[in-house]
Amino acid sequence: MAVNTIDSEPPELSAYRGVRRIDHTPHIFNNQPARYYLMWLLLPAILLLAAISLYPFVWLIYMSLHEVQLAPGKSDLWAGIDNFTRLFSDKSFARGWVTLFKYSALCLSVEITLGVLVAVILNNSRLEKLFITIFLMPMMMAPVVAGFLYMFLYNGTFGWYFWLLRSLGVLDGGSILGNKTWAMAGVVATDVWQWTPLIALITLAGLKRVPQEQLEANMVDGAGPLRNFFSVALPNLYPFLLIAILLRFMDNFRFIDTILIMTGGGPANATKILPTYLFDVSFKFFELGRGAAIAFTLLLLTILLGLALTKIFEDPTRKIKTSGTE
Amino acid sequence: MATVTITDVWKYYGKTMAVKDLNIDVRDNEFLCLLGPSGCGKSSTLRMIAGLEFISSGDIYFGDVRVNDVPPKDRDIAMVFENYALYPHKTVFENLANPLKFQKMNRADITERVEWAAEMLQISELLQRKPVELSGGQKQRTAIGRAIVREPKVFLFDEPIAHLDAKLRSHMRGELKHLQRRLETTTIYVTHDQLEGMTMADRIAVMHEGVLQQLGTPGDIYNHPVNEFVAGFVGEPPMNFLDCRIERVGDSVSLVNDNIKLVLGGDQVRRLEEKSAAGEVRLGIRPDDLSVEMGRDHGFAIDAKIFVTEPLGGDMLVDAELGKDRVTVKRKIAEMGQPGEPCGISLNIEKLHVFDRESGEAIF
Amino acid sequence: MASREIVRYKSPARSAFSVLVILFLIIFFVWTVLPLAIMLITSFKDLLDAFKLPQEGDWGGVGVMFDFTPTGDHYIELFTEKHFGVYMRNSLIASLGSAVVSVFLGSMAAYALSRAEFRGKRDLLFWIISTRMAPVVAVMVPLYVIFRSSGLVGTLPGLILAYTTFNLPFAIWILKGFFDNVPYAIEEAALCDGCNRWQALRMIMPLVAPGVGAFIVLCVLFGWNDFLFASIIGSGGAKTLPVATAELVQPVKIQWGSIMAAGVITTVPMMFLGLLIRRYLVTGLTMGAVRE
Repeated sequence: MAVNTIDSEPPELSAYRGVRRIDHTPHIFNNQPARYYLMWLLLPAILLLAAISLYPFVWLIYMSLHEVQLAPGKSDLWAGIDNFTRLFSDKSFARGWVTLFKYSALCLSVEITLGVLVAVILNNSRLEKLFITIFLMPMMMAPVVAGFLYMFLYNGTFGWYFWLLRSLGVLDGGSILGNKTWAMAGVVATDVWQWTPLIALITLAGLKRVPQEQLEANMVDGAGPLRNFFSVALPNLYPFLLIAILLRFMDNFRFIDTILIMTGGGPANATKILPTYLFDVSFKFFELGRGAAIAFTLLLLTILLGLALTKIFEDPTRKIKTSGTE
Repeated sequence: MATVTITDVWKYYGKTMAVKDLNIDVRDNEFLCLLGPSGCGKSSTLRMIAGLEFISSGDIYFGDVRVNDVPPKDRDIAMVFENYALYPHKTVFENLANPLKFQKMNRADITERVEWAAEMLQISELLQRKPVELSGGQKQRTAIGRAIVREPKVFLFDEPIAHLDAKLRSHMRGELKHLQRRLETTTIYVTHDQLEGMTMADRIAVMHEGVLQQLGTPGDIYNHPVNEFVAGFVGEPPMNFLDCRIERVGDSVSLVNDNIKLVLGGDQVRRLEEKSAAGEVRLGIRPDDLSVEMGRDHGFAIDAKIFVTEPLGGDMLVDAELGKDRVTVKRKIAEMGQPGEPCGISLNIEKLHVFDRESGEAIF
Repeated sequence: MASREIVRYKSPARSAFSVLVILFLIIFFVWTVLPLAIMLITSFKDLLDAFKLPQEGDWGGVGVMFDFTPTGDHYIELFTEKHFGVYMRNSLIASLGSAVVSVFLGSMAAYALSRAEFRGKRDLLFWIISTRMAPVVAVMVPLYVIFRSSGLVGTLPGLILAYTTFNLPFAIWILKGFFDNVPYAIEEAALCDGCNRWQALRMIMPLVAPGVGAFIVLCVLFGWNDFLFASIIGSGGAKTLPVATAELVQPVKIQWGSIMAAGVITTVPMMFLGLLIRRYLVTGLTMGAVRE
């Protein structure tokens, strides 16, 4: 997998570029002794992973089918698919999904727009290096710390962003995280602050891979820079943006640290995306059976996204674009 | 003593056939070239000899020993890869020393052997460098050095000079041949470049689509190709082919099409009759066996028109049009006409090849 | 004539455009850096200075931000009274432990997956990547139950194991991509030279070593920044920096100065690590899908 201008491929391998590749694994790697050897290499990791992910998954199935009793000595009650059927009448569950999609849509649209814009401006400019260094900083921050930092900035008595919004006359209410609309904007802004840089870096990597000849041919045909961007660069960027969207969306419901810290899902459930609701169900109400059922629906989404992602990984057209070694 | 015997070898990748019923005897100390276009199964054959690929059916013997199930490290072979496959984080010295290290040779002997090989390949002054610091030619020498350093039974070369530039390639051809003669080691050399085969090999095995077409000395292959594929693949510029039919008028047999009429000699007629060939055939003639003169009254058998001329310095190639056909003629450089001007062509009828139009098999 | 008119028409628009671009860059720069700067500055302010704000609409009063006497009290307090030294050590052990375990086992598995062909390989790979992508809250409860019954809750080994749930699939997946890039020829050459399989693998290790190193760092980063696992699996005996930071929020008053100082302590090392593995960062954060 693989890569034109800057390259994570070690320089020693550059000799192998453009070289005829065998499209099968040589037999020496796959004869019977070799297979045993490879199996022994593979096994420890697979067993460990199974122990810490497959085993809990079985537990999750068990819990979702039971009414889990927390008091010691009491055994769990068989609940059949009750935990699942109850989800249909659970308004918070449905709202959790809606809020999750709303939150992700807001985050992604702002991040993609800003990220692509910044990347296009910075591409090949003198500032590129400086900005890339700066981009790293928010991404490296623990989401919890980012949550606290923005809580501080939004604070109604001493927060600088609060002061800024008041001074600009945009904010009427007395608080950012206490207002339903502004709270959503607040958590979205935090995500945007942390992760727009990643989109920009991905886009920059994509822009480096836009075939220069295509741009030049298009320019010779009389296209201006704007036309050039939309008709040549953007189509080449699509696979990169698609990956960015999928990964960010996945992270949006994988990591809820920021929301937990900043609003805990409030005010009035305005920022209670489904994983946050799941957190409440399992760790506040201790309804572990119902929590497991909700977790199942989330895992289903994960699997769908995972399928989409592996499709992209396997898409040969994408490979040519991003791997360049061929 | 290192002969390599390949008997009835087949190779499949899944359902794709790569090598079909291959039989080759490689003699001791012989330089054998496996020649063919990409995908012809020559690399698969070499890799089976090396032990890197599984043999789907058939046997490979080194001397009298069947090596089908012998792992590469125990076959006592040395292979030079297309991309040299040097160990990128080892110096040239360590690269050369690596095979010896695994033979449990002592330090002093290793140094001696490495220095001997390095000197032979003129890379003595590069021994402390890493592969990244080497040019293509130097890398290639290092790769060869790693092969010769431990005196294996068999050398295996997989397109070792394909990625060098043309000038260096022609230089290395001579060096490799010289080296092989000096070391007197059985060598199997894979290439798609017929020139490499013709210049270096004792014998050439021409392969096409997994099937061995012809095994013979370069002279055999060039002068007596067994079929149209071999005839067209070997020789530069390639052989000219013209569709003809056989006409018999009384005792004389001739090859005829719209533009030419060639009366065949007695030997050739007998060969035609042996193979009971009749009707449509394909005529093949090498550019060297054609002559061309300018003007209308050339006195040559065939009228043609100049298509283009390509001077090569001492020689030149003349492409001439015979009706719808086009032939290439190689001759000493001379003032030739402009495209479209008439000329005459004659051919050395002794050097004529005739192939069956259907099967491509050579009739003579 | 005409062309000159077009040029004259175009140039103000062009310069207006470039002014807009520059303005946008400046705003983006400030937007990215300002929160970090405020965090850093506030961590050196005492509470009174930290809470100083200009009047609403008083744009000239922005200077208040820099009007303070720097104090290291918050840092001193964190390390003396709040045992942040211990938490830092916990964070380091848990994240580094998990990173080493993950990358060690992961690179072996990745090599095997890269070289072996077997039925069900695609499904296995899919299982591995979906393990990595599963939402933490979704698997937290069963994991907690299992860890509690094996006495791993509140211990560093437990936390290491918990981080391994996301680091190991990450390491396998991404290192497989690295091994896929290493041509067979080098190993084949080694085999012909008389190496056995293990010795041949050692020949290509230097090629993937920089990547392996970078992904150890990235795994450290993922573990270090984790909050959910640390707060639930690690609660008690294995408190890490993010959890300790969150605990600075007390019912009576939120100690903002300390929180900001804790934020700096948590963030700065990771920023340096991020810079260190800059070349592999985007590859890592996109699961190997994007290479720079």
